[in-house]
Amino acid sequence: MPAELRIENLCKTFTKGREVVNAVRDVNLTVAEGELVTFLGPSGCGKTTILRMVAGFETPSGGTIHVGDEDITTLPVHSRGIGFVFQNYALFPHMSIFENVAYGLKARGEAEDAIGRGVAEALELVGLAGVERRFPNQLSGGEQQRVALARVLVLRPKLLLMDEPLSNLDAKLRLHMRTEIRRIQQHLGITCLYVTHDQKEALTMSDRIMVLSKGHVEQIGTPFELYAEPQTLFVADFIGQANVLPATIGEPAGGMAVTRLGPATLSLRCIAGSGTPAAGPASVVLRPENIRPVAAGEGKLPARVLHRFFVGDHMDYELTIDDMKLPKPLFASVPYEPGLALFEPGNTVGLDFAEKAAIVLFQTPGG
Amino acid sequence: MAGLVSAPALATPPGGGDAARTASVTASLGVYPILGVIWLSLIIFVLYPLFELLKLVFWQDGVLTFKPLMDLLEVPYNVKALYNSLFLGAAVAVSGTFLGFCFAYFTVRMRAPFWLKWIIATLTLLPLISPPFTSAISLSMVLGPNGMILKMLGIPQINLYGFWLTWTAETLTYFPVAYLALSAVLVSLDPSMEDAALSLGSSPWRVFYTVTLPMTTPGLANSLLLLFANSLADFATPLVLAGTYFPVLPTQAYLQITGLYDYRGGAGLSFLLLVPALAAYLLQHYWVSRRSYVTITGKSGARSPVRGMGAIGEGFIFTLCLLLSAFVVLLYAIILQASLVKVFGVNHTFTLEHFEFVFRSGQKAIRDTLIIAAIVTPVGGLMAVIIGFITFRWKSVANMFLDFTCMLNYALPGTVVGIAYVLAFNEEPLQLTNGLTILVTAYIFRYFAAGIRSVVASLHQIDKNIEEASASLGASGTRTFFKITLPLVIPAVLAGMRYLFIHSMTAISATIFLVSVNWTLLTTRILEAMSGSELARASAFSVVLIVLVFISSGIMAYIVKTYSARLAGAGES
Repeated sequence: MPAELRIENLCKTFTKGREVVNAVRDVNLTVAEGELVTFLGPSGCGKTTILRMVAGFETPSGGTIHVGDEDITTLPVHSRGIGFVFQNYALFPHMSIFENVAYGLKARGEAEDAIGRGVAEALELVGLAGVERRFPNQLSGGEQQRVALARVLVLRPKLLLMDEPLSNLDAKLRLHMRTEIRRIQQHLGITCLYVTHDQKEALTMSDRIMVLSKGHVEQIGTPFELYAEPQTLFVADFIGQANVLPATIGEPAGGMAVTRLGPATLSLRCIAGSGTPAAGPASVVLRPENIRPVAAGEGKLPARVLHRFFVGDHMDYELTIDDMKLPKPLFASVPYEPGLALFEPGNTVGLDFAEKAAIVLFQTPGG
Repeated sequence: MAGLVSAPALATPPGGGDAARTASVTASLGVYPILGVIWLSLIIFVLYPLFELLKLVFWQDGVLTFKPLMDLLEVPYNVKALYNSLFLGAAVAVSGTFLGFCFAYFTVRMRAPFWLKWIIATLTLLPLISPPFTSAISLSMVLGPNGMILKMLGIPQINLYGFWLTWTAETLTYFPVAYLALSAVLVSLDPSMEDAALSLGSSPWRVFYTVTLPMTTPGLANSLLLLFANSLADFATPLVLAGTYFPVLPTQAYLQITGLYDYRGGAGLSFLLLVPALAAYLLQHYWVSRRSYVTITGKSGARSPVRGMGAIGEGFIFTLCLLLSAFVVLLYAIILQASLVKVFGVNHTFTLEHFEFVFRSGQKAIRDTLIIAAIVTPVGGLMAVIIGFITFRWKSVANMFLDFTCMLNYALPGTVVGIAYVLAFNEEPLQLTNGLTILVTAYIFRYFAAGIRSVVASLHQIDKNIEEASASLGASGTRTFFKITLPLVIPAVLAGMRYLFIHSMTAISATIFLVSVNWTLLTTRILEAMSGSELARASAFSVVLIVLVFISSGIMAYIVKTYSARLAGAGES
């Protein structure tokens, strides 16, 4: 039966020689029944460690994990009833596909005919009926991953954990398996945690995403929220692409603030929860697809073209604003259309964007 | 800002889960009583005999003394034996490593028809599974007084007994060890590094000695030490070929005991042998082999074709391998012929009388040898699994010591072990001489070390996730061990058992001291025939033994291969 998952104040510290590493710091998360939550972050952010603590492979240094009403924080792995799908499939190489899928049922002591039915159903579900008698090394990577999924689903786990399950597959198969996993998860209504470092995978599959960095939670939200209203510069930069410009804001009021951005003064929307709302230094985030170079003197800011790249369906520009001492060039992505005006490197141009496309974070770049 | 997709995360999370998992598995296996039994048997069959040996050498009239050892070193003949042993070991190490490298280079790196490589590789392994004095017997027929080749060359008067024949025979016997070690290293070398050197403008020969050879250095050092230790420990070859002209330590120790009944002298000589042998082993095991270990697990996937070292070098290696292989074939053919004719070199009339003798008078030896091997193989295999699993899973000082103790009898020359066993088990309370137990335990505790090694190596290769998967599917620690871990190490166990089997069929150095009227061995019968100058009977015995070992080890190799084939390629990331 699917169940709710509640993670409270979860911590994990490792000692590496003399160094103490805080791999996971004070993570709180509630996953509703039937929900798919993705842990997204760069390598070493702690996402896999959290998953392994939920599975029981690692013991938390602090905090609790509840599934439904049951506290499972210290329960042995094999008593948890939680399914885990590994990045490298971890199929048992000495067993046939049937034996692999039947493994958990046998450990549970199910009757022969129930096992046979369960295995057939599970393989049917993942679209692999008929491979029972083959061995793992006779299947392709994608098929092996489906078997790994079937092996877990046959037990009807309370919770399904997946650790980068698609990262060993080629790009095309990955796309296909994404929809496949999502379909099965929704079909069974199973509660699921999914670890990935691939933001496209996270955005397309998840009900909600938890973005992690250096062991702590940056933001939890739906894919759309994370993209439209990132609460930290890390999230803004990690989900999609973002231009971050230093700015100075006046006292925020009604979710808006008067913002001095280089030579321009604009009234921009502030992101609640991105820091302390107060007048002073702040950041403005602009997505590349929301800005475009225009003729010099027009637009909101003066800029200079550094490079131009034609990518096919759009034209990319690297731009700089001479007075603002930007740490990195700005990135603008203009969709292709016939008759598109071209600007050459070295040209002085204007930079245009809609005010609603620029958002203010109460954080300073690099600080 | 571009390229926000970070590099793939490494699959291995920071460690820490191991301890918890390990504890549950081992605790549920009830490991303490098992450890107790293992330690008890190691104390009785490894530490106690060695202690008795050292006691006899250094303990006299209730005081610690170096006098017996000093006395031994005052006899020039003994000093000569020590010097000869070391010199022979060094010579065999160099020549065997050279030949081993050439063969490894030929089979791994050179373009040749597949069948030719297969034949040469198989021939190379022949000496490894033959009784130790096969090459000695046949060399004495080829190069001994009135030897075939010497006659052909018209120089029947020259006497090659002593260093030259011993060196030749040991080189032929042990170069396969170097071949195995070095071909593993050569296989794992990535040819793309050689491609890189070629594309930077080096000639093939220059690439060979600036890239290929330096990268095999740890392998070469490993091979030199292995061969040195093997030659130092070799007993049968010098017994047959060295004679009195060229005394070496193992034979001197043997003669001291069986000829002069001087146990203290024999023990002292074997102590002199123990020191360099143990030093070479420790150096090889704890230092050199570590350096090359990682590269050996390398898997050959799609890689660029291997490059040779240039026409001259390859031509030389090719010729050498072909000639030497032909010589090996000749040696075995001669043994076969000698067993089938009246008197080799004199009367070449076909006869089966020698085989009739073997099956009549040697029947007991055949039966005893097979019984002993049949006990040693499964018991030693089982112990290897248990000890391998414990030392792999429980990293502690106590288990490092356990590992070391298990390797001890393996590292020591057989002569030393044999003498120690005689000293330890000749009297009550552990009066085991004349029995089956002493032979069986001598073999188990001497050769199960290879099984432990291979079990540990294969445990290293089992992906941690596989056992985690089992646990998360609801299997307990015990169930995981028996259903997952054990089946996955079985190929390694079988390989270890094959090694145990071959050696308990063919070894002699330790057990020559331990056979009795009740229990005898084929190898001792060969030696008896040799010392009675009955070359034909010795040859017939050898042929029977080689055939027995060949068939049974072939069957075991086949089982390992079919079993491993099913495991291959799956469960890897």
